Amino acid sequence: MAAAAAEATTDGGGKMIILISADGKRFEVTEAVASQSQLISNMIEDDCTENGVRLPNVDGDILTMVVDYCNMHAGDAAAAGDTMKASSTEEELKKFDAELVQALENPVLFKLILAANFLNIKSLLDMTCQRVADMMSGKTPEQMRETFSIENDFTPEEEAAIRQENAWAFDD
Amino acid sequence: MVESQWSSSSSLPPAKRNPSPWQSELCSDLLGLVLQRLPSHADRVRLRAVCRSWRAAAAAAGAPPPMPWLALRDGGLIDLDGNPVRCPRPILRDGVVSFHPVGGGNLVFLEHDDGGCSLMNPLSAASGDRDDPLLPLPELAAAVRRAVDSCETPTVATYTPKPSYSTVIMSSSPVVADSSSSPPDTLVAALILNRCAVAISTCKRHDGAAASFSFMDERSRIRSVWLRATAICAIAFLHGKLYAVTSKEGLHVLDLDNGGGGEGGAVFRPCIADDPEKKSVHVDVERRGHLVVRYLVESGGRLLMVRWWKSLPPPVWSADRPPSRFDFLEAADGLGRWKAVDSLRGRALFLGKADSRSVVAGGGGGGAGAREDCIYFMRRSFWYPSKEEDFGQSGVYDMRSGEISSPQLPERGTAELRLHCEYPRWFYPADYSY
Repeated sequence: MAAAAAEATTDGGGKMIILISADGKRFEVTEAVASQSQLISNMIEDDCTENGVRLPNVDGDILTMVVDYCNMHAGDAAAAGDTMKASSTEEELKKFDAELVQALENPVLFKLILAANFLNIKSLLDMTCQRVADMMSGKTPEQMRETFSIENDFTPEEEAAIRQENAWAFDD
Repeated sequence: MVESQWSSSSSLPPAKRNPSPWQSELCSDLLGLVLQRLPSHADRVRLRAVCRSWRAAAAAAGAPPPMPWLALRDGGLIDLDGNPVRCPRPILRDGVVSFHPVGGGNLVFLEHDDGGCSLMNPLSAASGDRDDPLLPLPELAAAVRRAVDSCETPTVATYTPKPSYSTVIMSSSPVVADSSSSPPDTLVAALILNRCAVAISTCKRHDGAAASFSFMDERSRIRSVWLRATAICAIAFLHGKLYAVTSKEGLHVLDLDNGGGGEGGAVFRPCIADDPEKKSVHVDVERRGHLVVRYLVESGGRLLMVRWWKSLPPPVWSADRPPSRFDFLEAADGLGRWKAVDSLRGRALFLGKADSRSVVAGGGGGGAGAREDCIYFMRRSFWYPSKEEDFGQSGVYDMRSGEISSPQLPERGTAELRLHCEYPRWFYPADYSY
């Protein structure tokens, strides 16, 4: 118990662990930062982070964004007792999140969702899914296809039947 | 073979054939998370019209449905933000005197001035029923007329020239079912206005009209059934069987197979006996009164009775008015007795005079959809002119805290309702996973 407490206080944020992306990039982060990922949190509990955590599903550029996000948000969890610190960064966090989401190009947004889902980082998954919902809201199917580069693979007959069944939602 | 496939669908340029990950890899789990954050029915419907994979993923996602709409007396539909919903087919038309949303399949039940009744989908423009969008239910109308005529209290029959309905419900949503399988018969049940009888009709889809939701009355299975002595408060279907709860809190199941075919073959069989002690108006020792309104709702495979204790205006010498509250009971032990429940198991209830319904509550975070363990209730008579007076008559009751919050009804569009002393009814648009 005492030993664990001593270990956790080194470097202000606890033990460091290494995350390794699909293309071999290495990221050194504190346990507190990495624990925002439920996947990694479980691995830490099971003591299988000694040789670094390999993330074969996540590219280096995406993992960079995820690590940035987790570094920014580590305060949420780690500084739970330190309310002063948490409240002073709240505005910065909102700004950071808004800029992150706005800057995402479509393919990157998709990869970030997959990474957030794989790593099980709920707040990041919530935020990115909300972004997708906002991008869909109020759009016609044609506009949604354009936004997400989707090919219309319905036959004309199928599409007509789908639209007629719910003609109320289409402006034709 | 491959060649012909390419040429038959070559309307799209080859350059676009490199599929976007949004199209090829967006699984139903992730799309479900997105759908939870899309509060608008229209957005969800349009999303399903984007491509095959999104349509399939949205169907498999099982996302909680968004909030229902409100149906107005003039045949208009509005969402809870007050935005009107475009109806490609007007609900009110020549010869229609009233309508009831019946829940599921976007259908409304129409009452005609000649005593007839029919079903119609106001939201569709499907070609299969474009020429005649009305689906007449002549046998149901006849059964209702017989029921009204044979009721012991003739008052309703004498002062209303035509049958009038209090509640109309359907046993299943017929349009969602795939035509390749044979779904169980859809039943339409109508509670007569004076609440002494129920008329029920078996409907079948026309064969060979896959795109439409046409029905045929099955002549041999028309029933009008009544319970004597007590009034029927509410009716609900559970596993395809019709149940009725009485003002004495008796639960009865309609046994359609009893005695074979023919008129009078069907009987209500008691599951839970009437309790003579149960009343509609309760007055406590301080002479404060509650009117008890009872609802019957199928909720996730359970049959729930809800008691709404509506506080009555206090006598002038008493200042405080008792709060309104709700009780929840499940027909437990093989539907043999009422047992109090304190959770809706991830669901929410919408209570209404015409059609009450249980829906899967929205997940946390996103905010779209109904709140878990909450009861959205609507007054049963016209709206009071001011919002303050309306409070407690419509609102949201939280089972966990026992608190009632103010109605989440739209400001927009409701001024006119108040002007015309209307009360709105829930309209539940067809969606996956109710």
